[in-house]
Amino acid sequence: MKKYNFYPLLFLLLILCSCSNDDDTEIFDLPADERMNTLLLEYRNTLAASQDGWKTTFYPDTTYTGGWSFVMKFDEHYGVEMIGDVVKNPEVEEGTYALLGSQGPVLSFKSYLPITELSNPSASHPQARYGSNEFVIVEERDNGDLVMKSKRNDSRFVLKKAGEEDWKNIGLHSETENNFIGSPLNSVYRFFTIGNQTDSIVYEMVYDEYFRQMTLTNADDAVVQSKDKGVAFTKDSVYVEPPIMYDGVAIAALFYDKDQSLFIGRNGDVTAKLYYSPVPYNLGNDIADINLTKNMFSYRDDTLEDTPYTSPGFVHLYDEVNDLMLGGRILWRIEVHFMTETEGRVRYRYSSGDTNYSAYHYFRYQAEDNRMVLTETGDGWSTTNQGVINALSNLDDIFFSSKGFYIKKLSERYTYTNVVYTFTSAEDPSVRFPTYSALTTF
Amino acid sequence: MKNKTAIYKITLIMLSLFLWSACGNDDEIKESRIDTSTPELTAMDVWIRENLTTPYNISINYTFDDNELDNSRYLTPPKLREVEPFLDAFLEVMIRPFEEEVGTDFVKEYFPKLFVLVGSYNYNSDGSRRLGVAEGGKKVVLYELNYFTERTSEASTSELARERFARYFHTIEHEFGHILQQTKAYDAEKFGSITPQYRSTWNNLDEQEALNLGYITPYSAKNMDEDFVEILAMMLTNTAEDFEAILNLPENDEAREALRAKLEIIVDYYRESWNIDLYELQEIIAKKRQAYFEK
Repeated sequence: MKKYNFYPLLFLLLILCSCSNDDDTEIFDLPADERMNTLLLEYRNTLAASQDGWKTTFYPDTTYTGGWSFVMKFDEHYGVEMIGDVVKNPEVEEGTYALLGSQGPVLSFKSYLPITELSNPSASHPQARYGSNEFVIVEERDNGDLVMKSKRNDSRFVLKKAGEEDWKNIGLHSETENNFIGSPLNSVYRFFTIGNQTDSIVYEMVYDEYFRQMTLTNADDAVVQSKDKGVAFTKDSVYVEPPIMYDGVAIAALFYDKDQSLFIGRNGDVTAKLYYSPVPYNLGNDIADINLTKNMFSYRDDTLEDTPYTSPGFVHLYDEVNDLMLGGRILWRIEVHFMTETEGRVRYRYSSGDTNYSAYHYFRYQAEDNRMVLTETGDGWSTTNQGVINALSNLDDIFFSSKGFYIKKLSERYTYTNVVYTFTSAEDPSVRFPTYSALTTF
Repeated sequence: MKNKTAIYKITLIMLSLFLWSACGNDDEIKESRIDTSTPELTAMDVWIRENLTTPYNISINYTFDDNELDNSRYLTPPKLREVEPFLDAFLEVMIRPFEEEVGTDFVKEYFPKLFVLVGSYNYNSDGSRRLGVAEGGKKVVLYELNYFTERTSEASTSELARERFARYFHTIEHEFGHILQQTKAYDAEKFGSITPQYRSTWNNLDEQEALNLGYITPYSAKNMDEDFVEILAMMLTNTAEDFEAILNLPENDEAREALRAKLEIIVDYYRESWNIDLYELQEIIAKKRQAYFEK
């Protein structure tokens, strides 16, 4: 039987098939770049078609920030007008935008606009508010909404068609925000209660104005319930994201009640309230737990000025001191030093040019009902500079009030690893400042 | 055996023919898909084209461009209303003096080709601010544009406003100094031997400490190239009188003499390598700056 070698023929067949031209089975009508350009043009037309523009509330980072609202109007020549509640007394800014084909269709704000303020860094916040200047258009929903995501961290928001009134309402957000922040004269003791007719939980609330976030700490067991409650404002309410839950019921919006000066929200029989109190809910026992002897508690303006525990009332007093200081003197540090078991000193450190000075006087101290009361010993000031003494007098009155301070230990750290304690004046509960605790040898 | 050979021969011929023809692509060469059409130009674009790009070969990127910036930083685009005042000053106080001193061709050839403007501050991790960055002698990124008018316009008579104004141009003079320095070498050995204690920890020095060591700014103490351009930038952003006062700020003779010795090398280098009289250029810039403030 004759044997034939069919392998070369098989090879030929394979070669023939490999280069077959499947042009007729192309999936898309147009090349990718042309399809992207068409899509971008369609999005430009969609954006420009909304007569009163678009509105959104954008949470740049759902872990670290609350939300800011914007209304924007695009034209076909890549011009955009925008207003946002990211600044007080907002005004309409004009700028430019582009639609780019990168990571999908991208809306890029090319010039400074209110939304780009969220990327504007400062010395204390080099990461700004985690904003972005570019946003991927994820999808256009059937109802015309556009789903967007930040190119920086994938945070999503929805652009909805705006009405004429939305442009006016943005300006009213400031009033709600001001009510929420409160006056510098308000007590720092602010509570959030949520519950029904039979039971409720009380949280102590601290608000971070820069990031629009509130921290809720259970007032009974001092356990931090949540540090990531972002807030956003409307003309008459504050939105909490994620919503606050009680017994499976969510409360996301609280409305301002002018008559009672408090925020209130309801869902079924669950009610939430945000209100001020002149005294702490739970006096706690932080003073008893502190080893006071040789412990120095220092407020440093360079690292503690911006914490959410540094109250506007304290900042006001502190600024007042510096306004009253003569000859360019600047107060930069305050130390409350418990030098022995019964005595200590308050030391104010200030600079003039490159030289540092200090002024201090001594006190006796004792705990009274969970307040720490400092009483001047009558030895007088370490300085005879009457200008400095006068400038410090209002702050000094707080330190040596007969009502004393509430002292509380924080779980947070700021810049350094030192444990931080807050001092809150019982005389004027709008005055609270954080301090670093450090044991000294003297 | 013969049959086998014949089959292989035929196969090879066929294979050659098929390979030659199988992948033939008869598609016609089509038009490029790259979009080369002129984009819509704004009034600002036209101003830049007429005043900077066409006459001086300089392009300005004043809109946010992810590709030109460090993506790890949080930065904002410039406010449109800040761009023209800044570029107007840039033209008057930076470009025209060089043009007057050494000619248009010099500006065209050696000035950075691309300036990227950024609105916000740019913070380093140590809290210091980056005012500008030069890349490869072709591109300069300038920060803090959104504060230009606020800092400089209101107080045309204020010393502070003039100082702040000078800071913007200090950055540009500094970066442009690097380009020239890298194009034609200066006597680095001689220059570096005058104050050789350069250090990476320059940011620990305050201004007076740096001056007392013979460095005109703390950043000068980083290395001799930076020292060279810092002295140059300080000279060109101050009047002769103010610069003279700065040279006398060190609190010891040794440092004062060191500053003057380094300045002499810089002045000689500019005269010999670039035919630029720095004292004359300093005077022209000072006059243009004064005229700008009086506008």
